[in-house]
Amino acid sequence: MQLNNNPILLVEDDQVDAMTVRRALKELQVANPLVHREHGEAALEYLQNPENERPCLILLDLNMPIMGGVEFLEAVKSLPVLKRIPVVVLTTSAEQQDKCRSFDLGIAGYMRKPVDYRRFVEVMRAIDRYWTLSEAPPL
Amino acid sequence: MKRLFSFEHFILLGFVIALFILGMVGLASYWSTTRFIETSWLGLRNAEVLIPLQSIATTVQRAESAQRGYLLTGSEQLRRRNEQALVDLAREVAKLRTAAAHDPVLAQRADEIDRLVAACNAAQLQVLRAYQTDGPEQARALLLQDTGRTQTAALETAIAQVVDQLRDQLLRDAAASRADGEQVMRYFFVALGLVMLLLLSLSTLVLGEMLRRQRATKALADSEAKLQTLVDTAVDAFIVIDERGNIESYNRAAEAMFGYAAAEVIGRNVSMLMPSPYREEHDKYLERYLRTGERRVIGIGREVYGQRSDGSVFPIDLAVAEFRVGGRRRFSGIIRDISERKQAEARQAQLVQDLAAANEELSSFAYVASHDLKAPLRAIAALADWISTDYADKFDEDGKEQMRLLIGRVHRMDQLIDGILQYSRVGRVREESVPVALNALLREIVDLLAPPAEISVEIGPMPTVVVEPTRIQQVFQNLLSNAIRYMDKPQGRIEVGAQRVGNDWRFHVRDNGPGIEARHQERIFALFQTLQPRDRTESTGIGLSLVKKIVELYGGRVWLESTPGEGSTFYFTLPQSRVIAAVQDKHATEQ
Repeated sequence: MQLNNNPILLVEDDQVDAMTVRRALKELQVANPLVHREHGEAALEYLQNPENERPCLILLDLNMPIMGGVEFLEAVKSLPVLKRIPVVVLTTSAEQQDKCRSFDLGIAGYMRKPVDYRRFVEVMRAIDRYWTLSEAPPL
Repeated sequence: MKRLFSFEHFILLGFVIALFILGMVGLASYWSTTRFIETSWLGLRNAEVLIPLQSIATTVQRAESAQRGYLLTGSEQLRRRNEQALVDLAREVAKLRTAAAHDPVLAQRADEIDRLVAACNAAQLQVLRAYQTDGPEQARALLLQDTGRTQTAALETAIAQVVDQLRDQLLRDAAASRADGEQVMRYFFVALGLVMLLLLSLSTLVLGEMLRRQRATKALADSEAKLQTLVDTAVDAFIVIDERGNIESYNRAAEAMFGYAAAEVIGRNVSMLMPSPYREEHDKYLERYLRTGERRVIGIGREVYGQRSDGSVFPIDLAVAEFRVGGRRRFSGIIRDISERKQAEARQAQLVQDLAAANEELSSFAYVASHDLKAPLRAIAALADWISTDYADKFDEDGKEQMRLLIGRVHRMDQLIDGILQYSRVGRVREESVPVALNALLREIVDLLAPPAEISVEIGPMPTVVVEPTRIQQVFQNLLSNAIRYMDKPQGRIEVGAQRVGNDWRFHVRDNGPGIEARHQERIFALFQTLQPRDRTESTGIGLSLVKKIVELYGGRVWLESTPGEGSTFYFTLPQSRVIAAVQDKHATEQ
């Protein structure tokens, strides 16, 4: 993923899903480092710590313990310094409600996690290619 | 209906008529009797005239014969007799005049007779004087001149005339009087007959009416007793109040309901049976109703609260009606204790709520469970994929086959979970119903399903329906994909159509596939039921149950007709109200 070489923040509670993302990114030879946080609150802490590098992209799961994806989005989008970071939702939910709320909160994309790993790789490839071509907002 | 004349008026009129007739008869009798008396009196008077007349006639003759005798014999005795007769005559004439005074005609006659008597006397005196002065010869000659005789004859004729006249008149009067009497008697009997008839019919009427009234009174008493029994044995409390709210009537059910005896509440204000704030409001309310006619309860009825003698408050159903007795307004209230109903309602509401909660829980359970099942499933799939990729050189053919089967089963489970998710979403998540042009939708579905070239799909004219687009798409997509998936003929033919049947629209998807035996037709709509092993045809067994659930949610029904080996036709209905255009929209078709 181009964007500059800032890290990609993965907010995901499932260890295997995190592994899947990591493996897929590796397979796609994405050079950006991957920062993994297990829930919204931890991710928010990471973002608010000025010592941490600001991510160029956030991959967000919706169903998580402690702080879910929608709640995390609400927090991030209310902070002026963070709200421009593009967020792509990666979830199993096909609920209309989840999609609507996520897009209302200004996400850049909504991807459903396929069960099949190969198709998961295809999803990640699409994200990679899109953000390779798309202009990114200044960090 | 009010009669123009009441019975009393009628009877009164009858008696007035009877009285009138009797009065008339009385009057006629009086008149007749008066006339009779008058006639009799007149007869008497006339008879009184007759007596002196006859005396006069005889006395004149007596005087004459005495005179003649005297003239013949010169007897002093006869002369005195003659003188005496003349004196008698004068007295009789006086009597006659007195008796005839009442009648001018008779009086005139009396005068005439008086004059004739006087003439007779004068003639006799003349003869007598001649006898005394000129001697018997002279007197005899004078007598023979017959002057006195003529006078006497004139007098007798006059007397006879008067007597005849009087007798005629008497007879006439008597006849008239008798005719009058007879006439009056006739009238009297006719009138009497009429009055008797009238009185007879009146008494019959009065008797009849009395009997009728007696019966009516008894019937009224019976009916009152019945009504009282009805009110007393009524299950509902029944209370009557007057305009000021004072209790006038209070039945046994009310005693049982409120705990007050009738004697305790009669005459007291009805507000004593109500809890605050109704108790304080009631007088004002009644007063306002009487003044403005504004109704809150009267003639309407509503659920309010009552208060028992022990102070406990209970819900009641109150129906109030207004009525007038003798120009005074009264209000009747029928009261039913609805505590039990209220409790039952509350219980029912609780049950419905519990049921809704349970339903909600169940459907969100299916959703959450399916959702949470997906995560480990994905992990298994990913891990299995990595193992077979990363350790490909370590697996022999059996191992690879087993890994393939493992991944296959994982995919099937994924589909099952998707199916459950879809199924639980129907009815739980509602989309907006919008007009959907079915022809356009069906073409999209066929494109999506991409049937092989040897299967033809024919879409007949379809209406536009107002539904949730996703749901109707699921229905047709499942029916069509089944028809395509199970097609066993080299030339597959699938036909979709719609038809108005009664109050519904009936839709069908017809194929010439394998058909379904009647014994399976029920089962295929159940969840997870398939007719073929899953390894041969990948099917979750959710499609038709989803169709059934959606169709039934819209108030329709789904069934199929099938001949095994020749094909099946799946039918489903939608209510007419869901269909807005019978013929497909041209615009929608072009799209």
